[in-house]
Amino acid sequence: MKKSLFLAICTLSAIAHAEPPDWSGYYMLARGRDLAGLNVVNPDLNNTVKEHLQPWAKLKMEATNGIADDTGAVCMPSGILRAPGTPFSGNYLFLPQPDKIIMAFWEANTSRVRRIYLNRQHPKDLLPTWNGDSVGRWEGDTLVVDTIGFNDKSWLSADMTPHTEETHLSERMRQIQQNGNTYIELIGVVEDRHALTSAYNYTRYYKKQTVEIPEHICADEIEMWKQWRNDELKLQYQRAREVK
Amino acid sequence: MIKLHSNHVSSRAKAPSIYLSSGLLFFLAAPFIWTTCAYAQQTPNIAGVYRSIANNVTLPGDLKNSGSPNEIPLLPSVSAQMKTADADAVHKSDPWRSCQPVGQFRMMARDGIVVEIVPVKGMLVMLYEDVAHGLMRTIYLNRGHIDGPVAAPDPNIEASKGTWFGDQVAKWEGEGDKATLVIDSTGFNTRTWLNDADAPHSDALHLVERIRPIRVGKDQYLEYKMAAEDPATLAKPYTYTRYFEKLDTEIAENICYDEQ
Repeated sequence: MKKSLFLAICTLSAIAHAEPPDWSGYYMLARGRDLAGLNVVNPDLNNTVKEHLQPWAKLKMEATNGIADDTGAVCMPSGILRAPGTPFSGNYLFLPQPDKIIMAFWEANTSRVRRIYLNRQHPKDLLPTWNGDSVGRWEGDTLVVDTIGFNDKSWLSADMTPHTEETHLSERMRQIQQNGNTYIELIGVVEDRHALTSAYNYTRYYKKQTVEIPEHICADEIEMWKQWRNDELKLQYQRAREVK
Repeated sequence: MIKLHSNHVSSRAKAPSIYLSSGLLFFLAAPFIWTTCAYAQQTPNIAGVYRSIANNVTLPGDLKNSGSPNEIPLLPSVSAQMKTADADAVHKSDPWRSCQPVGQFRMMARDGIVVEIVPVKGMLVMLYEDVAHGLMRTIYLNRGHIDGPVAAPDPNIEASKGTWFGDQVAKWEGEGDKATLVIDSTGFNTRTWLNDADAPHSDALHLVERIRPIRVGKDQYLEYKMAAEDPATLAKPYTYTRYFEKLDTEIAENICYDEQ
């Protein structure tokens, strides 16, 4: 009798407490057949970003070496801004907690861990970081996220498209059911008054997996990437000497 | 008679307001009741950010760190092999220097490491502030160890016999103050070292971590015991103990710069 009463009180309190929806799980960027009936907006992030670059940013992009200057290729952070443009760097564990949402990316060395705080605003004196400062709130069943405080070391897309510390990322995430699968729909808008002529947007779908997240160790491939980067840096040095 | 009637009417009129205020109180208290229920029905809540205390700190109750990966009892043949190695080359090949994961046995023993414990349905994730060296650990509460090769991280990569962090499963033992989370890890590759002096391990390495939430005064701590056994490299199983204090801070971005 006592146990039944305890369970009844607990059940009622759980209903009254209205916990946010449990989206926990491992999600991968949906591709191919998994996208049937879903509207991916601006699927080619490289082109989308390039169309919005200011002239100086376009020049910087053209002067940037895709191999030598790619921090992510040598296991350094690459930031979250380019994640919607590449198939693997956007895969994540979605880990909701009462005070924050944690997105732990499969490529932990490069995309790293993102924490979206639900219990505070952006700090006033924000030090620029690779993934910026994310705060969020629930609007019904949609998670609305605002991110500022990026450093200018990362790229907006794989084509080494630059941005500044003024970058502002607005996202809306909601869980949907389609094709018998569960997805997180992510609508992103990127603004940067110094690097972009106007804001660009994209929509991506991340499919909830039935398998466990595998281990990803950037170091498994780092020697190969370092060799490629060193070869490119040598070429750049040779070219500079020839010009001189 | 009239007075009685009057009282009777008054108590009936009060009834709805009592129900209303009780209901309101219940809704206000719901998060706390829910938390209590979750605690009572399930297991201790160890979610949060923790930092390991320094080896020279003693907590009330004479609680202090003990043991170290540098004191592991290696087999004589393994020690002899390490002595003949080129010390300089060994130092240069330390995964720590090149921002590679160092494995949980070495990582959890370090002074002042910050780790966030994140429980979700069926699993527990450990996220280190020092992402490069600690990376993230996924510990499963809903299954035993996987038999056979561990799933490959990518369809283009062959299935691996072992991984850097092994196959990690856990269960709660005991109840209340005695409740202890026991993490059992097997299925390692041989890429990590057991300590700062390049002590190797084999793919038979077996780690058992026992984590128990404790209160020291008003503060919350974790008592953490790590036990290692590896018949191919260790003369006998070895255990070290660390204490982790719960922090009320956010995890900051931490970047490792390759020294190579």
